[in-house]
Amino acid sequence: MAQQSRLDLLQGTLDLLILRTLQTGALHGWAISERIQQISQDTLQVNQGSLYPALHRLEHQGWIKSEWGVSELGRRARFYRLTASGRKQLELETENWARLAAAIGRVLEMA
Amino acid sequence: MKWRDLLLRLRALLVWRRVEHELDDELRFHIEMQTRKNRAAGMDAREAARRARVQFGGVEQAKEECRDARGIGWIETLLQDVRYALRGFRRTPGFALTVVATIALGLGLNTTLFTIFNAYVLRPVAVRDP
Repeated sequence: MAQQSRLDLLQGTLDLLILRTLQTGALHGWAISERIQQISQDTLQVNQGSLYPALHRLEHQGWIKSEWGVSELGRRARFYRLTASGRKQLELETENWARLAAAIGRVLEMA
Repeated sequence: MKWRDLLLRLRALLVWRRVEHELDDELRFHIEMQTRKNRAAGMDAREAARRARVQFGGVEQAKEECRDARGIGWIETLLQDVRYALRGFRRTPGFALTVVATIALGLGLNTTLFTIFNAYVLRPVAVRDP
């Protein structure tokens, strides 16, 4: 497979991706960053240094909740879970993203 | 402000040490997992650990940003300043005593003088037709 360069995440999209990743269940920080990288087929590189501040911010917003659990390898880890209001926020942000992407797409085609 | 946010802020204030400790644990866990992944990719132990730290970026900076997310940064800074000042006082007790005595004397003198001034000048004399 041809190696294309990795893209930095756009400002504000990390929150959306975190929320979406947690939709299927609770994950710890490392798993979130791995999941995003894997699913985007290594195109999106999560800046690990900004992942945790984002997680803590989202928790303060009440969109995710953290609890300590035991990881796959039997180590203590902090897992994050989507809350009800987080689900709503995810819907909203997904919709906004789709509108933004569609609008930019239209301009690129027609302008 | 959401109550969840308030709750987390309170927690960060009351069990400050524990919250810090949890942050350490959380980031250490991340770097350990990354190290493990690097080892699985064929690096030797030292290189794997080094690369994991590089991949993470500035750990201290990340911690600082997490603290900012807690929203009690200014209180933590204030407490740090107070602790720093108290340490300074302990190192130079003579200076601390002088400062306390000066402020006490200043306050006392001010209060006394105002009381006298108030009694003789500001209050109207308590007769109907002075």
